[in-house]
Amino acid sequence: MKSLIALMVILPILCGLLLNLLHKKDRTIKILALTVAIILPIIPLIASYGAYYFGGYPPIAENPTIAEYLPAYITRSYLVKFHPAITYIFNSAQRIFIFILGIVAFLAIFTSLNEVKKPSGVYSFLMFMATAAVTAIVLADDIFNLYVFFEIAAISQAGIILSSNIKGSYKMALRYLFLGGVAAPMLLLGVALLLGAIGNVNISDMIFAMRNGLIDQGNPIFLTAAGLIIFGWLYGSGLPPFHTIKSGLYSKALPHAASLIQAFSVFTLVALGIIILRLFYYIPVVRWAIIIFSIAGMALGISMAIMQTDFKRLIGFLAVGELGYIGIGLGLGTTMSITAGLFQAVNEALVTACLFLGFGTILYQTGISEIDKLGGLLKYRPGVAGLMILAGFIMAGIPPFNVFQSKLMLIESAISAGFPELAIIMILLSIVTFMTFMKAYYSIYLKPEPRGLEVKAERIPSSTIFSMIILLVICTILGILPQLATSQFGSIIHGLL
Amino acid sequence: MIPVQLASFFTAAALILIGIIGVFFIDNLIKKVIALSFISDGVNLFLVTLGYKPGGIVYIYMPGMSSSWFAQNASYPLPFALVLTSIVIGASTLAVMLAIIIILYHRHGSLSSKILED
Amino acid sequence: MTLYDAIIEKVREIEKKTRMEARVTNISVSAVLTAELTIVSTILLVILMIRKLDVYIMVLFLLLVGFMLFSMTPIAVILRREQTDSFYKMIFYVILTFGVLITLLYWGNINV
Repeated sequence: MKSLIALMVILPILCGLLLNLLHKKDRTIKILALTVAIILPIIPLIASYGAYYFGGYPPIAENPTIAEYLPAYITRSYLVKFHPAITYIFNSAQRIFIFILGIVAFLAIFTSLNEVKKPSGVYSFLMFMATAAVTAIVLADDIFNLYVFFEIAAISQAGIILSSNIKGSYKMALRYLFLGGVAAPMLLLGVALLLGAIGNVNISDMIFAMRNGLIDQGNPIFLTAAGLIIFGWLYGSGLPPFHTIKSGLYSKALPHAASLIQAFSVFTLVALGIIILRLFYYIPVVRWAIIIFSIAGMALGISMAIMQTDFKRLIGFLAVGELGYIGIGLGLGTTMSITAGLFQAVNEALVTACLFLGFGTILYQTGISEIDKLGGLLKYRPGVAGLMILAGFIMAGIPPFNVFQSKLMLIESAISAGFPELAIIMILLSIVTFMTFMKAYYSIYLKPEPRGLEVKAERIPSSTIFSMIILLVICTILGILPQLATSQFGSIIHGLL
Repeated sequence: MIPVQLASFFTAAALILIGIIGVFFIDNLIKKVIALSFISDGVNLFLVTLGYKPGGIVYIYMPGMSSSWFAQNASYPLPFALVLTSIVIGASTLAVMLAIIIILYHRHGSLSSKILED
Repeated sequence: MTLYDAIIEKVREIEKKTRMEARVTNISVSAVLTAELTIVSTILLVILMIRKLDVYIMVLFLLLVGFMLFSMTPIAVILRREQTDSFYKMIFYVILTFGVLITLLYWGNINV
């Protein structure tokens, strides 16, 4: 079933466009959005592995009917291996990423449809569009197609922020687009340099040409292209210097939208990071750059998080800071570290989504996000408070949950790669992460209730609690059986090293 | 005389630099958007220039052409296809930015980038 | 003046400057202190990684940066002031990083 690979991108786009047209037909929107959202995580499970060629043009080597009519000097050259079509590659690693993205998207859309009285077709359209774009970024083997969806994801995310109706959301969206207006063309310039040097935009072909001596690997153009693509990667994932805008973006989104947007950042980081590694693995300075930016992201993100007084901003900075772990895993460049980094990406997408949803319940109950004005909320919904502390434990890396497994793997791989300093930094920042979470948790739930605190809604929508429980259950399963995820990354790492 | 291709590369670099300087130093939000479009135009020009071939022909295979002559003389079509897509994306981003600026202007009565400072 | 006094004073000063409503509480001071220690120790640990290039350069850097860090305390407060929602500051750091990244990668040896 190769056509299912294309359907992973086409279905959400199609559904989004329909939802846009159906604006104001509330019941139809609800049914359509929920149906497609449930299908999204199911497609990667039933699709078979392989490559999908848009337009149906496989490489000539795989297409004997065309090869028959071509002269021998073409069929004997390396040209027969090149991909003429836009190619999507779907393998075990992509399967787990898209499955997790689908789960988070489903829960976010499900929660959003239940939290508001009148569902907005345009809002659901934006969520589906961004999900489709990030799915395409994960699948694409074509670097220009990746750039296109990178831009679509950025515009859709800005749209999601615009429709949140939170004070300051327009300014934040404009800042995000302005910074994107500087960073995304630089990514395109990097793509253009690669195109100029190699003459193709298919990543597999570029690697084939670079590794087999068709192109001089030592050409300094590759260094500049690497720098430009890394710059675009920083923008897409929200590592410094884009961590302030990314955390601001999370804080100006509605909680369920924030849980979806952070998943976009995580998977953009992973997908582009793997492409950078595939293309430039032979240049050590590139891996150094990835490590340095990741450490900067961790240190700045987490230390800024602990100083925040607004819990939306706090959790936003925390989400950015935790991204650094994935980057370190990719940057170290050993089999174990990349496995650990990818596993950490999966875990983080899940647990941060849960935290955003959980902090959203406080906003739903009180409408206040400054932690100084909150307190004593434990007595209203102790069950949700219990789920929250569980999510906090998972994020900090407490056994037997999934983040513990991936952080342990990361620390072990850093030591075995000869960087005990990195291991110490990661342990230290894990502790500070936990402290940051506990600071927020104490101020919101345990501190005596301040005078004048008004709890508007004691009831929390059961869809939110359902979503949190689903996410925590997946986290626990992955914590007890980490090989469910880690065994899936073999295909992608085998191609890398 | 400088070759056309080299001149275009320099123009592209100049456009990108002017754009970056403009985004940083110009106060007016609409002028900032124009500066951003300079950056993306510079990159687009760079892409188009990559496909340029001195004395080349349009990459459309007409009846009566010998295929080897066509292969030697046609310019490289891929960059032009990419530029079209890139222009469309750039235009839509600009449209969203300008729409937000209109709303901010109605709210704050100003186009100065000071409204983005707090 | 001890480090603690210096930090409290800076926190007060910054909060007066940004007119934040939050009061200086135990939690906020310990948060700034934690952030300060985190950043200082992370920077010092990162410098240790230079030993892969040259041990002597690492020692030189460690002394230099260590001295700079302790003369610049509290760093966390400076960082917090720099990482606000101000568009000017954001774009400044974006362009600065872009310049440094491209320069380092362009002049860096392909085999380093």
